[in-house]
Amino acid sequence: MSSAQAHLELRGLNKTYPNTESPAVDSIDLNVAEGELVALLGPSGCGKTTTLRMVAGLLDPSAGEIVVNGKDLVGTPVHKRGMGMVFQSYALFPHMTVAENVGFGLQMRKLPRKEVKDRVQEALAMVQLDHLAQRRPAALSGGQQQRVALARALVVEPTLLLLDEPLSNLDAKLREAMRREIKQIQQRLGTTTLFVTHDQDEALDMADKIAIMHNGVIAQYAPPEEIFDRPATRFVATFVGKANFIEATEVVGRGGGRYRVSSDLLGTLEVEGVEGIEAAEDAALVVRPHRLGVRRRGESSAPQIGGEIVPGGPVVPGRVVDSAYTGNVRSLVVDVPDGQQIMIDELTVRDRALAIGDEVEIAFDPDDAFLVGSR
Amino acid sequence: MSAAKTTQGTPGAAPGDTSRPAPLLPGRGNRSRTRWELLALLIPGLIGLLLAFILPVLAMFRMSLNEHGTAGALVETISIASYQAVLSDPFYWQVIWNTLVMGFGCALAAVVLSYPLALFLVRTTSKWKGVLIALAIAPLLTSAVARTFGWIAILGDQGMINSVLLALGVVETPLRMNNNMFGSTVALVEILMPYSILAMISGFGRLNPALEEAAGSLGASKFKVFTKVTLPLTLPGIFTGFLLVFVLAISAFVTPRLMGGGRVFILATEIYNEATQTLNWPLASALAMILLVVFGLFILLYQRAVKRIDQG
Ligand SMILES: Nc1ncnc2c1ncn2[C@@H]1O[C@H](COP(=O)(O)OP(=O)(O)O)[C@@H](O)[C@H]1O
Ligand SMILES: [Mg+2]
Repeated sequence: MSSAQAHLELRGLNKTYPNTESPAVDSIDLNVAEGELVALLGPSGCGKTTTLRMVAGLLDPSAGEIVVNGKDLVGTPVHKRGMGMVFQSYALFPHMTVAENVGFGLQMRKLPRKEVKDRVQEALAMVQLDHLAQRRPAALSGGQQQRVALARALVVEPTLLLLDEPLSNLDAKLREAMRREIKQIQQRLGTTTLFVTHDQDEALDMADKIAIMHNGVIAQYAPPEEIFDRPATRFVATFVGKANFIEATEVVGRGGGRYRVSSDLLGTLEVEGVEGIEAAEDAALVVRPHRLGVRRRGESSAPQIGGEIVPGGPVVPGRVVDSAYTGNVRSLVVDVPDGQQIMIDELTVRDRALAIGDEVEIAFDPDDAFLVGSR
Repeated sequence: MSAAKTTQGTPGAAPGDTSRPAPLLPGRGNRSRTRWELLALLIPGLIGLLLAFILPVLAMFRMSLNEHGTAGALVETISIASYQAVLSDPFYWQVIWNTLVMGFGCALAAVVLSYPLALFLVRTTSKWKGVLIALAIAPLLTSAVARTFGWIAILGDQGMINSVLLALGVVETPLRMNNNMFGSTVALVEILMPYSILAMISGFGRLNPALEEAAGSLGASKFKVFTKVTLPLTLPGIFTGFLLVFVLAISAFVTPRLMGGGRVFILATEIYNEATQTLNWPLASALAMILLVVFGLFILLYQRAVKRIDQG
């Protein structure tokens, strides 16, 4: 199996369902390069499925263009789009065997019987299911059904592979194994892929780029590291990972995405941030809980952050009000002077457990703070 | 270390062996007890079935072995004279044939007409879905007799259609749409359609919009989606609807009698004639037994077909 690599571009794509006021998908633009795996990530109801179904041709857009390899596909019926889709429910044909399911798309393309047989065999081997070719879908486990659905979508060498929450019906262990498997197959075939999920771990793990969707718009479109370290909005910061927000009282732009930011809690710091922030109103510093250091007040050693010594950043006093142990990580909630609460995740260390009521000091590293604006 | 394990294991196994039958026995007892309890729940229904179905059928079978005396008297005996009389008379073969043709015609027409309706009713996402399904089966609220008279008013020689055609000069003499097989079939189809719609709606469980979308995404045109996915998945519902209408049609009496005007000869009407006019009860019973055998055969065929669908 190979793949003719396709380039997908959504331009001003809009869908307003009949009898609804606000659009489910609100004029989004998205550019997916050849061979990329892009995740559409967002909470339930943000318009991910709607977007994917429009790309697949299962739903007509209200406005906008779906351009694949330079050709606008709006108006092209689903069966002529040549895409492969994996449904959340897998949608395997219950009246056909595994082999017949996988061969369906090839049969529709009127390929010779021999070629269908060979390619089905090859596709089933790719997902390690060649020994189950004559089974019915009902006699397969969830993970096996998932792999049949994947083989069925890929065997036709689709221009685009579309996956709608493909892993949400699997248990946690299997889900992680399938993540790797899908990713490996996708990379080997080089099929341009659009992947819908509401699971941030899945998106961070698998995607080359993530489009964060929120209320029908794309809040940020960037590689996983950038989404996590440089969130474009407060929503992105809270939806992907945990985030502390420290409200800014004064913001002075220094150009190139750098700002001098004052806050009641941390005083004045020089930090990076989203470009184009002009006012302090609604601007806030995002600090990830695991990038904070914490020590018992009065302890002599410097607070630790990820094993490194803090280079003289601001230090804030506080009192532990909650402590949750999850094995690798202890999650603390600390009351700090301005009435705010700060979340801290510290790697658990032997012989050290901060308890509720402990007086502590929290160390911030300005390099780990990122300024986001009002949106 | 390993020796210690074995020595620990062996005495451990001994009490295990003695205690093993213990938990199993009450288990087995439990299972058979619940089995008997389940069977007990069936008893009222079984008694009803015995009194209202099995005993009458046995009585009827016994009656079919009696003889019809020359003076019209019932002769208690054991003979297959009535069956011989039926099976050696071409008229009754014609009656059986008519019955089957009418049953098939009704079932086919009802299924073809009900299928699009049932598909629509299953698929619609309208908030009126419940109301629409109720409307589709609402004709059952009216008695079959009343609806048959309605059809006489429509198809009769002075009926609606013929009046219009005559008035418009399209035809010179009224079209014969009543007092024949055509009229009986039309009325029966309309009367039985609610049953086939219901049977299909309940038989379309495997249909799922995602399957049709998946087929489309794999390159199947609308027509291919229908023939490769929709139709195979709805076959069980189609078969159930067909069988139900067929069985109801070949046992229908009122409608063929009224619409047929005495000129439609099918098993139900002949049984009625033999039983009430000729008073030949043994012959009527033999005909009824033959009808029962026809039922049985078709239910067997249906089960075979459904099994085939489920397996492939
Ligand atoms: N057929 C429909 N008719 C009306 N509204 C719909 C329909 N399908 C989805 N919606 C609405 O559109 C929005 C986006 O839905 P969807 O794309 O399914 O979200 P997601 O896949 O991100 O959970 C939701 O508010 C949903 O209620
Ligand atoms: Mg969805």
